[in-house]
Amino acid sequence: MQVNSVNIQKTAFSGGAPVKSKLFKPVTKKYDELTDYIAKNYYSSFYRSKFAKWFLDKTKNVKNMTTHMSAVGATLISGMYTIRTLQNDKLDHEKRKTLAINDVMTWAISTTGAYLLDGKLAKWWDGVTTRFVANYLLDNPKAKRSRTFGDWNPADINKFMGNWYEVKNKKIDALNKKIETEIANGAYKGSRKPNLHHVENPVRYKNIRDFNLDVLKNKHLTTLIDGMGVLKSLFVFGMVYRYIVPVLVMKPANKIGAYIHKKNAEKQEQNSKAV
Amino acid sequence: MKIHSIQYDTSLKQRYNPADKMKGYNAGYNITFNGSRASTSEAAVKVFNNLGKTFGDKIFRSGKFQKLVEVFEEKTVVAQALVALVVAGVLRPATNMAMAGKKDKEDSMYAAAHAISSAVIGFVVSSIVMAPFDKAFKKIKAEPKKYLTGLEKLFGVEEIGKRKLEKSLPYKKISKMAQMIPDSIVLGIPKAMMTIALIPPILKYVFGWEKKSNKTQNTENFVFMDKPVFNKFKEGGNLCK
Repeated sequence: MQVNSVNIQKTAFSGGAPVKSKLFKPVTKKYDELTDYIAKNYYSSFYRSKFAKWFLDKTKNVKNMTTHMSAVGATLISGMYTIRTLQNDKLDHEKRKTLAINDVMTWAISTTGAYLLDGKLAKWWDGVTTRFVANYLLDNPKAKRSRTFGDWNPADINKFMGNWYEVKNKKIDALNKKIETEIANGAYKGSRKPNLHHVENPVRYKNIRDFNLDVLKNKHLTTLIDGMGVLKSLFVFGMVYRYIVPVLVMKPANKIGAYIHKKNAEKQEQNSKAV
Repeated sequence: MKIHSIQYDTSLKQRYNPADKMKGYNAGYNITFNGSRASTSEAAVKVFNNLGKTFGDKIFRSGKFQKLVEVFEEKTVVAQALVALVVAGVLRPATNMAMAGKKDKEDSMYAAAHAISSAVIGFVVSSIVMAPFDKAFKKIKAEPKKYLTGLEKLFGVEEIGKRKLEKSLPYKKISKMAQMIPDSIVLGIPKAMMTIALIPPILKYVFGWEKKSNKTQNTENFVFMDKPVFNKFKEGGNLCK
């Protein structure tokens, strides 16, 4: 045995993990200290703050923080631009007022539109996320928990979310039958007989996140499911604030406004000439 | 669904509730449900046809897309800046240029250069500033006990642990808020002001634009610097020639 252990110690690896350069060690150490400082003094302190407690108490029904934080960020920046416009000495009073109203209107239309679109897409996006998970399971069979549920088809994930416990109970029945046969053949003498129970009060899942948390229990998948939700919200808010409203709504609206203004001015001119 | 260990309450504080009798009926197991219950009479359950074969499925299955989705969850602010980079730095200028008439071609080109500069500055600043914050958040996720012990009640969990926190909605909400505050709230306005200050030099030295007059936002005139590449672009020439 000793000879073997010596041999193992002598085994040399030509490949393996790359050796980290010592040159950057002081830098990486400082960076690590900085991130540790942020974790303790920013995140941990924030979680422990009175504000966090107050906020969580007041927002029990709020679920998607990404949308609200995006809206708050946009509100702050729009507010800043509006104040800057109103304080701009190079513009006359009327022009300042018009531009400020334009800023506020753009913000209001964008925020309302983003929330509406985000809400409208929620159900559809849940379906997209479920399909995304099904694709993930197709490539990661381990995540299907085949040892417990057998080799189920990810294409049937919606059905499986509703009847997973039936599959598990069938498996338990088969195992119990096997144990009974083994007992009849003289197994488990003197030892404790394995006792497998059916799933009590099973839940039929509609939401893929809940299903993953309680049944599949895959941590990476939780991150991906949450990431899909953030992706949708950020994309909707980004598109509405930075593209749909300023390009596809405000630009044609400004052109229509300018056209109406021009027509009115022409009418007024004609009227004044007639008088 | 979770089946917790048997819990006996020996305190005299517990009030009698007939429902508790039913709870205790399952040999002392205390069962809690996290999922939502669907009705059995629901419409036919959807089966994903051609799973893994459609164009969308191929995107979903790609490692790069999955990495991107991970970035959206773990580095939300950088992802937000990335969306801005794509939308405001590519899509918006392209549409503005396509919609521009002959009269406002120069204005559209200036607006495009402005949008690209703004989106790039936003992305670069957010990526640099948020890098240590994102790594710190990763540390919290990796070792919640080290940083979050004592917050069980706030997060509504029995104990602080990775799996327990995954299921906690208060933790998820406040974490997303903590992740986004440094950029959206604290840095939002300074970043916007820095962008305003940095745009003119970027326009001048990168795009070759220079402000001619300083009248109003809508009547600003800009001139091309005498760079052949921009002259070609101005004339509608092919830059690849």
